Amino acid sequence: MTALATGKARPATPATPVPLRRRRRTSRGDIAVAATSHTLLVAWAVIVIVPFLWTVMSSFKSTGEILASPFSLPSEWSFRNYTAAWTGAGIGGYFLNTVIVVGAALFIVMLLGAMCSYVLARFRFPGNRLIYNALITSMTFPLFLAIVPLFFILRNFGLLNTLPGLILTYVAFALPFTVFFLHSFFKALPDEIHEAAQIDGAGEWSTFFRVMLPMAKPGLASVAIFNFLGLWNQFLLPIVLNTDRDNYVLTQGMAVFASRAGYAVDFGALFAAVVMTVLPVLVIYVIFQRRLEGSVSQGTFR
Amino acid sequence: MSSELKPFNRRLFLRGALATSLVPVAGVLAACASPGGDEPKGTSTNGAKSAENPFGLAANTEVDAVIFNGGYGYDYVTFAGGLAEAKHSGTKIKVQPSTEIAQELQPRFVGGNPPDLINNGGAGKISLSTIVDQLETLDDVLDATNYGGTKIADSLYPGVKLPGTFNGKFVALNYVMTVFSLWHSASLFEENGWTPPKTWAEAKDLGAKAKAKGKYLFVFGKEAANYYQWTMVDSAIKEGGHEVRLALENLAPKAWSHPAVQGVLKEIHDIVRAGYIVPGGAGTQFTAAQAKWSNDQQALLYSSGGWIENEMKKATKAGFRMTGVPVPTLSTSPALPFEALRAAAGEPFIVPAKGKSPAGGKEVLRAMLSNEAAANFSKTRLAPTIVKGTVPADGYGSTALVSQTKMLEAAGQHIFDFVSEGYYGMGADQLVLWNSFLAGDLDVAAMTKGLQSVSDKIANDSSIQKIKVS
Amino acid sequence: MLGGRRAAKRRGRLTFDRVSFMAVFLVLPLAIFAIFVISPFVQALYYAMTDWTGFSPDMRFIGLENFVKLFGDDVFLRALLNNVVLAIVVPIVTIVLALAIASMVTVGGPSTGTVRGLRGSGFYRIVSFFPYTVPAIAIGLIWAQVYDPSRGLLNGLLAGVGLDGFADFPWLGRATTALPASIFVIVWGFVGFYTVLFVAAIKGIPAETYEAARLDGAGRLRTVFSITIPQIRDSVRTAYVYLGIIALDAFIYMQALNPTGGPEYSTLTMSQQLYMVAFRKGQFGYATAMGVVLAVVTLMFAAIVFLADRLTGGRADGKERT
Repeated sequence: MTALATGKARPATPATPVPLRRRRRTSRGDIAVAATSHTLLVAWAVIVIVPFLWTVMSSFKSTGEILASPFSLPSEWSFRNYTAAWTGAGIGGYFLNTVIVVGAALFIVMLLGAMCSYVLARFRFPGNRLIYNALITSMTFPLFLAIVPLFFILRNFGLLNTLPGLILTYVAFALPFTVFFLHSFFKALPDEIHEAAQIDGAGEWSTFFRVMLPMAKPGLASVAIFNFLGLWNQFLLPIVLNTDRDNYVLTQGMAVFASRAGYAVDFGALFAAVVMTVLPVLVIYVIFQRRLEGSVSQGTFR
Repeated sequence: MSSELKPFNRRLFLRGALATSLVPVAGVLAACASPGGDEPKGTSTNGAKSAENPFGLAANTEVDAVIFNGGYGYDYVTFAGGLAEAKHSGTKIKVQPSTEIAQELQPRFVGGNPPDLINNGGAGKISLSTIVDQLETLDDVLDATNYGGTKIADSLYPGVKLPGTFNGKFVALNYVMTVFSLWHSASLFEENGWTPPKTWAEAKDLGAKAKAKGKYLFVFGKEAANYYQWTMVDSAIKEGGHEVRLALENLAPKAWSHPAVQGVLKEIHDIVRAGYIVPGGAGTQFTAAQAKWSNDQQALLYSSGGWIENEMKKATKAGFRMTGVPVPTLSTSPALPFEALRAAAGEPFIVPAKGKSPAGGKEVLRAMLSNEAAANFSKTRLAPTIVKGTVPADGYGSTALVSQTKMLEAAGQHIFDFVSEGYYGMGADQLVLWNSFLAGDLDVAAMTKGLQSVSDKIANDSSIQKIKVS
Repeated sequence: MLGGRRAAKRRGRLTFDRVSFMAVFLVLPLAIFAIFVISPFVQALYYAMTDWTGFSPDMRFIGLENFVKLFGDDVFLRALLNNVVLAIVVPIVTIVLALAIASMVTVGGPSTGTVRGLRGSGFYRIVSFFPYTVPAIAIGLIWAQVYDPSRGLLNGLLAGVGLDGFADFPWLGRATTALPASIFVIVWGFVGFYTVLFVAAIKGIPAETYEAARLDGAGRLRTVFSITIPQIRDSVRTAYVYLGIIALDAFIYMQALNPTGGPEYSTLTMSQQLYMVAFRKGQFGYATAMGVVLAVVTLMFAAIVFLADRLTGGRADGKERT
């Protein structure tokens, strides 16, 4: 993969309509285009939203009602399925594990990723290019291939079936993307700032933490969001490396519960478990979506 | 290293399984040489052996059991674990449920820390051929006395070792008596004046009657389409006799082209083409499909093992008198009678040799084989265990349980089993074929070719250790 | 790059500060990377050449036998074919949809006044991003229920509008529809994410460019092809590579939708077959060989995309014209 673009032009177009809105004549063509566009967008919005709503509705139905008809409303809006899924699937504990693992991994990978990409982007030394390419190439390797050897490695470190082991693995596998993403950011930072800091007597350490890192904030924010979603949804690593039921993360618990719900003919609880898994992140997204989109548009994802 | 499953035992096996007739277990599977180089199991900690503690369970051991959490749940093992804990104070029995046995335990096998006891069941089970060398033999469990002081071997139905014996090594204790048959609601059949079919011709007639009522003959689900392979194979074995069974079990070339197999496949294909099967099965989750039979009564018959009643407990219509009947025969003069039945001890429990406490695993098995634990199982799961005399005549009010007893009695000596599918893990590939076949996308010739190539693939793969069934 | 060239000057002064800095900053992350990412992949290469069952400690070195076996394994070859279809179709459909939505919400507004998006574009953006916040396993489970022939949402809706022919149609149970239906689920999950990315990229294009085109009398569709796509070409290329990699794995989606590989193996992917062979059949060496093939295919895919991009006039340095 080739180097990333840097120093992009700031957007010249405001995202939202200009505040001062004058009455304009709208051509017939505009109306037709707008109508078509809106129709298409509404259609897509419906395709996205309806399955969610249906899942929520089904989560309140008894299994008998689910089997009977896809559209019947629940005869009573009880949280029976939710209690069943909460206790049966242990969603609560898995949720906590996920927060711990993803939180810790995210912090570490952001720190290490920023450090690593900073050095790779701003220092010249033999092997720099090789390391960068190795990182980039590793993103294309299927995780499946690494799973079993990884199992042994963790076991030899005594980290198998432990949350720290899982955290470390998450960090390792999120690192390439983080470096790939932040590399261009650090490369784009004007050199004068670095020199100014050095003239002021700051060493490399303090230059990085006091000056360079804060300047890369927009990039850090977007990569953090991508990493968060990626790690939160990670499935394969915990399934093989984290087989102790008490340490389960959410996606894993979800899959086990789904499998169990299939055998136990408990579709109501299955829907409820899905809702409980999806809802927290969805709510967080809706609250923070503006910031997220802001940071994505500042990110250079090319 | 080849040994064989003894034939006479197989056929006598289960004779009177529930009818309490005693058949001497003759010549039980003389084990030939144990597989190459038994590793010393120095890792496990043992206590002193005694009559009370026949496996030398060390004091204060924590025993780790992983139990398939399927149709029977897993808390029956917890119950037995409680009995063992009471017997050996300080011992802790940790029972973990799992629905993906192979995937969850593979790393532990490789890592050399497998659990002490595993119930290897479900679609995600470990194919035994890969781990048979790493398992404890369980002969000493049967030699021990149960919690009532009786020798365990004497308290069990005859032949229970058979389905768990591979190349002469008895490594899997199958706990539940499992009968494979076609299931229906006796109440629904009475209301409509229908009778369960004894031949495929009758089955087609019944299909027409069902259609007239807006119902179907069969239903299948995508993860369980191959349940109908059991129906098909059982019917073919009844038609053509044991030569059919042996050809299929031993992966003979052209085994699936046997006229008996072909005949039954054709009958099923006719039923598919006549539209007697609930459409959409290949896209339906299997318990949802089963509910179309047990809850909606859209379909009249379902092919399954005896676990079906417990599995569908939550989705069975009130007044559904669940009853099993043997699968139909092809002709009116089959080699084995209509009553002949595929039945075997099922739900295998295995004890890995490299576990922390194989003795603990065996002790849990011993507890499970106590009359108290076996009675608890039958009462709560409505299925018979291999322990004799623990099911009352009324079958705890379960029509399904009573019908299993009746079928076994009627079958007499005509009881057989079919093991190659599970041993080699062929189910996954056969499942794909059965989904297509039952959906009407494959004809008999293509189906035969497909099934044969699945068998041939195993037969021609030298890296897979074969068993010889006779 | 300026930074890079100047940085060269800094080489040579080996102070403790710099050495410790480089050591910690580079060695620590790379050590973790080497141990947990690189070494497992290297080890896997070895396992691929053994007959290891996965359940025993012993294995035998058998050279390339597994690979020979692979290319005679019709089920695996079918999975490979499915993966190739996925890697071609999933990115194209996702990118076309995402580009369409992104164009509409950024520059699809009235043709007079400032170049801007449609009204309510924020709402559409937010909604289309929803699925990306949902774990893949949950997406798979939701859609497996939606596609259920008799009690699923889809057939319920179709029957509801009078298409009774679909009453029991098994979307995931027909060889003809299973793969398209599965592809749709993956696309559904990713369109929003790429929409947001394309929106960001389009906003980076100076408004004057659009205004100039408009003065030249270019219609909306033409601006998309003559301005938007060329300007964000690199974003599209990267999106294609990412989506392709996702499609070449696709494990979680496929496993939730059709754990058995679908009718006539029509939705079986290499990763699923690998999983099945490894865990269900106990042939780990063989499964690892499949993994190696999967890795090679993925790398080839990325290389082809970059090569195609270069040949059709993409810039080698990946820089965008601004």
